[in-house]
Amino acid sequence: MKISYPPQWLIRFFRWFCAPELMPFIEGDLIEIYQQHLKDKGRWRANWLFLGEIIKLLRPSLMRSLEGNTRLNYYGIIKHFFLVTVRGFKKEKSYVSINLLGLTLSLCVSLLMWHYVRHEKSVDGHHHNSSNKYRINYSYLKDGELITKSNHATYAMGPMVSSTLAGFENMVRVRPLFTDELVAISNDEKQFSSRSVYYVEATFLDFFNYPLEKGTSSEALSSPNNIVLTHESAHKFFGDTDPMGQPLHVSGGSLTGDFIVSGVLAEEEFGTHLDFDYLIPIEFMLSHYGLYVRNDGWFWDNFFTYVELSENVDAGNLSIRMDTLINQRLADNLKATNQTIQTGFQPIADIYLDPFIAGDGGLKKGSPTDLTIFSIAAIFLLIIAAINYVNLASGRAITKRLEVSLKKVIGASKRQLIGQFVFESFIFNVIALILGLFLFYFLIPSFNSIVRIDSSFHLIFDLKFCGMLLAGVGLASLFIGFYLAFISVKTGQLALSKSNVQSSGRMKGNWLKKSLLIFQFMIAIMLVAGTWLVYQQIHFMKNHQLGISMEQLLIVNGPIAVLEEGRDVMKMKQETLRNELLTYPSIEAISGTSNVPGTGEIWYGGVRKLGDPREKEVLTQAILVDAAFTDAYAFEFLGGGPFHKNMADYEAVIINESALKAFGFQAPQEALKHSVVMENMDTLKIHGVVKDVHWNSLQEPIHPVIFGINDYPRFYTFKIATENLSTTLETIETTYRKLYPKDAYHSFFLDDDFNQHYESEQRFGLLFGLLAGIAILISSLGLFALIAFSLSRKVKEIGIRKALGATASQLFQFISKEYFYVFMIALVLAIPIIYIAANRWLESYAFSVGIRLDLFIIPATLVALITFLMVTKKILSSVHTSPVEQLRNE
Amino acid sequence: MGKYQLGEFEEIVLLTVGVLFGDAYGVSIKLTIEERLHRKVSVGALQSALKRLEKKGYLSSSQGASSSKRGGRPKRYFQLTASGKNAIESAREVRNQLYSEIPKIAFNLKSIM
Repeated sequence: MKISYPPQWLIRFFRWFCAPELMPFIEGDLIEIYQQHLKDKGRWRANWLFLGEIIKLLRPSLMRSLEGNTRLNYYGIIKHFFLVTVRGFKKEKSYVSINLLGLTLSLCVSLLMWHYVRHEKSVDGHHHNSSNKYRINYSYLKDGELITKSNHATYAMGPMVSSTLAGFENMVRVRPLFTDELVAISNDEKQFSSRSVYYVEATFLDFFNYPLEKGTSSEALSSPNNIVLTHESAHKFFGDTDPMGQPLHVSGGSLTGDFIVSGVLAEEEFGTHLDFDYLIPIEFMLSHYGLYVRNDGWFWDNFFTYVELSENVDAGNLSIRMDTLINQRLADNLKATNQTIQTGFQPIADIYLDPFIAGDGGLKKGSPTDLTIFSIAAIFLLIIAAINYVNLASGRAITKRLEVSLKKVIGASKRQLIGQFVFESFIFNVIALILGLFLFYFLIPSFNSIVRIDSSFHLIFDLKFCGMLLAGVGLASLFIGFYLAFISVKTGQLALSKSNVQSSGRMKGNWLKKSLLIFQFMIAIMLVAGTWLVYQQIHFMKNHQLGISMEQLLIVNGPIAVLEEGRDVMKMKQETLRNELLTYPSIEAISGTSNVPGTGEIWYGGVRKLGDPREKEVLTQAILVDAAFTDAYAFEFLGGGPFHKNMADYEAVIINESALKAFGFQAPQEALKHSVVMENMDTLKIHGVVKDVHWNSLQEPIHPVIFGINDYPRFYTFKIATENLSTTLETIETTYRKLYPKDAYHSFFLDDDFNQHYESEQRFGLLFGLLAGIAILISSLGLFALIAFSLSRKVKEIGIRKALGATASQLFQFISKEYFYVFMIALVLAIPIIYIAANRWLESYAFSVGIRLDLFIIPATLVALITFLMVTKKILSSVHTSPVEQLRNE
Repeated sequence: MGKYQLGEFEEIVLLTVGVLFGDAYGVSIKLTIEERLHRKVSVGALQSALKRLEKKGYLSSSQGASSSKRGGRPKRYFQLTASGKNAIESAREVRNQLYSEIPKIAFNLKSIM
């Protein structure tokens, strides 16, 4: 008799909640009743009544108990899972080790990258109430357009705004010494020169969280002759003796003074953008450096001003009111140049990663682009490893179908079958995680030294991250396990046992595997391309023609302590140095300058042609040199000539090509008839015009520069011959020490020092290359295993082809064809991405190597080559076995 | 009563099972009650009661044959146990006793204020 069933979904629902021992009988009753209703009242009514019955069956007495009905012996089944997993691992050691290696490596590297990124992002986050602390930045606008951004402010601005306007809790000013150099001389005549000295207000140690090892924060900076050392400097200057109360003489032109050590900072635990060797109260600088007090402190802007705002203060509103105040106070000055000032509050935690702007000297900066790139690359690496794992494991899962079908015959439930796969993938991932963590922990010290992290920051302390990591691993293993179970468990028992196993060897239909492989290739190609690009750019920057010759130039730091003996003595000693050393034929030229290439400039500000209104001022850099300068550096003159030996200080200037154009001159000859005015103060004749050179590293564009005359050298440049180098160096050092006994002797070769600018790029390239290397390693391992597996599936096919007379090369072609296609697709997809990313990265360099064809060809070739090798090696072994062996496998 | 706690519906079910001797299963019990008492009985309520009665020991069940009419599901037949018989009898006794003790005058409804 044909019956029609009530709605299936209701039945299923019923079966779910009903106690199993009652279920068949009640279901039977329901169906019988349903038939009756169907006959009497029709389908609609019958369904409706059925629904009613089901609902009324929702009684506690009829529901299945929550503990589950059959008490499963979970212990037994987990033990079984474990056994099978372990046996599986033991049986296929190579598969396991390849996979594990890949996962572990990529986990470890990703952890390292993440550690680096997190460290950089947490810089300056440890200061108390850091979310309410800001630095005040200036933007100079002309007619609404931004001319310059500066992170400096004048001395008087801070107190004025914080006392006049509401909303300020705290204010502190910091003056870093970034251009000059000081020599600290301890009691036993040891000398240490440093450029990282900060002059700070007394509240500095309270505002910023720098715990003191010795001394108290309220006392340490209270009198003008106090000095506070960092942990490292204290050790450098005083070794193991207690520095507190010890005298320290600091020599540096107008900043010379005698100090008593009043505090020592504890070892640095967290990263910060402030970079100093020791701290001196700001009162000292103000009393010695008159310029800052001029115009009531509104004259010179070289101070970082940090403020703490009260809770719930509208920073934007406050900023606008500050603007009004400031623009009012400086009205006369600004009117002349037709500019307005706009202030901005920058949270202190953001300063470290902010792109470099003028005036960042004396600060430690990180690079946000690097961070993004590393994060992305680390994620890529993880993806590759995961893809590898899936590919390898799924290849293996097919062989596990036999096991699965056996289990089904015995009567395993679907849940148990899936459980096996999930369990295995979970165990695998956990082992990889543990190994990866060990490796990570082990590598942290060396990694820290490569990327210059000196604080004791540790990723483990970031609990949120640890939680995410565990969750990630758990989820990943779950997903992978499910996927593997899915492909192994679905179809009917009998069909699985034998023949079907063969057919899934070919990759043709298996689009998932193929797309994963494509993705892997893509990532490998992109990473190699990236590494290549970085190294190319570094090579370019190092070898690009700078316009001046940097070879054979020895730089010696100019004497500082000698200034205390008076200007006349200093000048006399200079002459002596010059005369004595020039007698040696190996010393070709000596020049004393304020800066050498790579050390920036001594001053920058607005300069205009005499006769132009102040509006036409151009931001120019100034470097002070002497008459021998242009000889020593072999500048090319476009007009005019070098300075004469007897010219007075500040009598005239030499300008560069960019300055020529900026001031509006048509030709060099025209410029020689004119003078320039520096910030409305000094007027100087133009004595010569030189061709542009790359004074700073190639990361910066070429600025307009004026070279002025001044005989006080902060650096001595010696042009020396290459023969008898060591004798020449010795002579120079002895003469120097003789004349300047109280100064430290510090020398370096210009080309070495200049290249230090590229240090961060080199570090970046190194890390990136590391990533790329590992990515390739993992990918090739995976590829190798994949090929091995797929070949083992095709043993019969190959045997038949051979028996029919295929040659080795024909076989090779046939097998490698599909890998070739995959590779080509990956390449085509990778090329536009590489192009876009490379463009973006190179934009940050004023002078770049540009995108050339080899950026694509080299990585493609490399990856192709490796793939080729893998494929060939495996194929050769398979191809050479006798077809009899292969066909015997039946 | 006393020893045999029996709800009204439970008593009905027990009686019906007795009436349907040999043929008492879910659907038949349900239909019989609905017919005789003119009230709707839901499968859930009935099953619940049957389970309770079996647990109390008044009914015993046995599995019957399956039929295609029931979608291949078997039937579950119920019979009265000796305890169940005692329960019905005791209930009946109590009712009869109470009824016989009602004075005639209680039925003379017209004269009651």
